[in-house]
Formats: sequence, structure tokens, C-alpha cells
Amino acid sequence: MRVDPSQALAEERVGLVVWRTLLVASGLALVGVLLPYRFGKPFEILAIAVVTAIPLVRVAWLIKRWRAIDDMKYVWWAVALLALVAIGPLLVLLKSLSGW
Amino acid sequence: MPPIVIALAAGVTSGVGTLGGLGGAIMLVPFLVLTGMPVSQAAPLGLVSVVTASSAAARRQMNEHTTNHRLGVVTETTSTAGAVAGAFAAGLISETMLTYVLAAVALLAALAGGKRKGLRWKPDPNVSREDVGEWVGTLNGAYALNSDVVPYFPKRIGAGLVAMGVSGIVTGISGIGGGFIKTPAKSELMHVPVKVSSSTTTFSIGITAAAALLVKAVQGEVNIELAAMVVLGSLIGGVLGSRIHSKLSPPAVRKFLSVLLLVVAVILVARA
Repeated sequence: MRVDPSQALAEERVGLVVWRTLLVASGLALVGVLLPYRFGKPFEILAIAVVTAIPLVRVAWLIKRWRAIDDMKYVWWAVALLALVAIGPLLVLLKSLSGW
Repeated sequence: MPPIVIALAAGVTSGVGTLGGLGGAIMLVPFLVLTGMPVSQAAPLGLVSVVTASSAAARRQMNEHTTNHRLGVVTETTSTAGAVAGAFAAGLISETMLTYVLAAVALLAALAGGKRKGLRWKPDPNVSREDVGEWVGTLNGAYALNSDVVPYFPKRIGAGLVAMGVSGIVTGISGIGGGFIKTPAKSELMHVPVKVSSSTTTFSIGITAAAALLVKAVQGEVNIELAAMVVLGSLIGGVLGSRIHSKLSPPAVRKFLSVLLLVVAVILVARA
């Protein structure tokens, strides 16, 4: 097996989900920009949060897919990537909480 | 600066960045700084532009199966490890010296890509349409080129991972996005077809940019109002960039990438 037979359909579906989520985030950003700052800020924060989450959720989806086809080597690479990605914000959060 | 100009700038730089697989921040941040915005405010906006354009390009690149997720995840893991190490090493190396070295790297990559003619991997009649995409259990894959299918087998994986680690260290030290190292390293060092390497880098730089953006958000350094404008601009730029990317031939993408790398080298020297 070279290509996972379900890959094409899965990628098209995820591509569509990413696109629709991005459109929702852009809609939120637009509402945030159009409303006065006080009312618009929560929409803008939500838009940035959604945009930031998309790539990370995409890696989590890859872990799920590769696990399903038992491609464990790349499951572990992806888990390592997410762990490394979490280290930076965690260190900063710890630093700000403990007052290092 | 009027927010609409920031949205327009984000759109243009995201489009160009997606087309070349470099990310738009390397052009957007210097532009914002030149117009008087402090680097501390411009850098998070650059990250927002990279994250948004990466996702905006995803649908087309996933439909065309030019993104090799396994390659992206493996290379980005060493790159992120390098970035974490680089963040701790910041201050140990002169940033000006580092920037000159990076400009030289960008120039060399531009020359290497610009000099090469034709396709490295040729269409293979033994490989069918069903083989287009990334292959299970390996970093190999195939992509569709007009009516043909071109298989590819990345070389020098170890050297490529070292290059990605170095690009991560550079990002950690200087805050410059490493896309301009990653795409040419995949293409010229690892022999990954330029369309696959640029799509894969567009995917992977979105991950590290998202992580860096989380750090900036925790530190309270993201200007939310301007970031929302950048999201709107980069969405359009990312879509247009990926659309043009899919229409261009591999040699045309490589030529464009070479020109872009020359521009990056000039920006880096100006910044130093």
C-alpha cells in the first residue's frame, strides 16, 4: 500500500472543515472590526483564538488518522511535535505565574 | 497607519509568501516596522498572518495532495526543538552577524534554485493516479503534473533535519520566520519537488507560528484590533497565493522562489 485509500477523501473533508472554520473566524474578525471597540473586542479575541487553534487541531487530526492506519512512527513524531509546541507557552505561563 | 493598509499589506505579503512557501511575515514585519510600528507589536501580527495564510492555503493544497504531512511533521519537530533551544541561546550570538549569515544563506539558496533547469524527478508511467499523495510509512510520495504522475523520494534526510534544526535555532534567536530556509532546504538539499516543499512548508510554519502566537498572547503582546485586520487580509492573500501556486509549473515556482529569496536577502541586509 503506497497511499492510504481513504486519504484523498479525508484530506478533502478536512480541507473543507479548515476552510469553513477559517471563514467563521474571518466573520468574527469582521464583526469585531465593524463594531465599536468595546463591543467588538470579544469577537476579535475569539477570531484570533480560532485561527491559532486550526493548525494545532490539524496535527491532532493527523495523529488520529495515522493511528487508524497503524503508521505509529509518524504518530510519535506528531505527538513529539505537539509536545514541543506546548513547551514554549507553558514555560511563559509558568514564568508569569511564579514571577521568575 | 490606517488598519485597512495593514490588512492590504497582510494580503499582499501572505499571497506572495504562500506562493513561494516562505510565509508572509518575513516581508510584512519589516514593512510594518518601516512605517513606524514597534517590532514588539509587528512581530505578533506577522505570526497571525502566517497562521491565517497557512490555513487559507490548506484546502487547495490538500485537494491537490501537494502537502506531505509526514515530511512536514518530521521536519517541523526538529525545527521546533531548535526554536526552543534558540530562545534560550538568544543573546549568545550577535544578531547583526546572524542576520548577515542568513542573508548569505538566502542568496545561496536563490542561486541554487535559479541555476537548476527542468525537473529533478521525472513522470513515471508505472506510478498511477491512485499513488498521488504522501505514501504510508515513508516520507516518499507522488504529485500530479498535468496528466502525468511524478513520484519523489527525499534524499539526505539527516542533513535536511539538521538544516531544519538550524532554521529553528535562527527563529528562536532572532524571531525571523524560518520558511526561507525550510523551503529551499527541502527542495535543494532533500530533493523534494518545489511544489511539494513549498506546500509542506506552508502547512508546517503555521504550526510553529501558532505556538509562537500563543506565547505572545500569554505575554499580552498581541494587538487584537490590528490582528483581526491581518486575519481578513491574510485569508484573501493565502487563498490567492495557493490558487496561483497550483497553476504555475514547478520551474516557474522555483524561479519565483529564487526571486523572493533575493528580496529576503536584501530585506535582511537592510534590517542588519
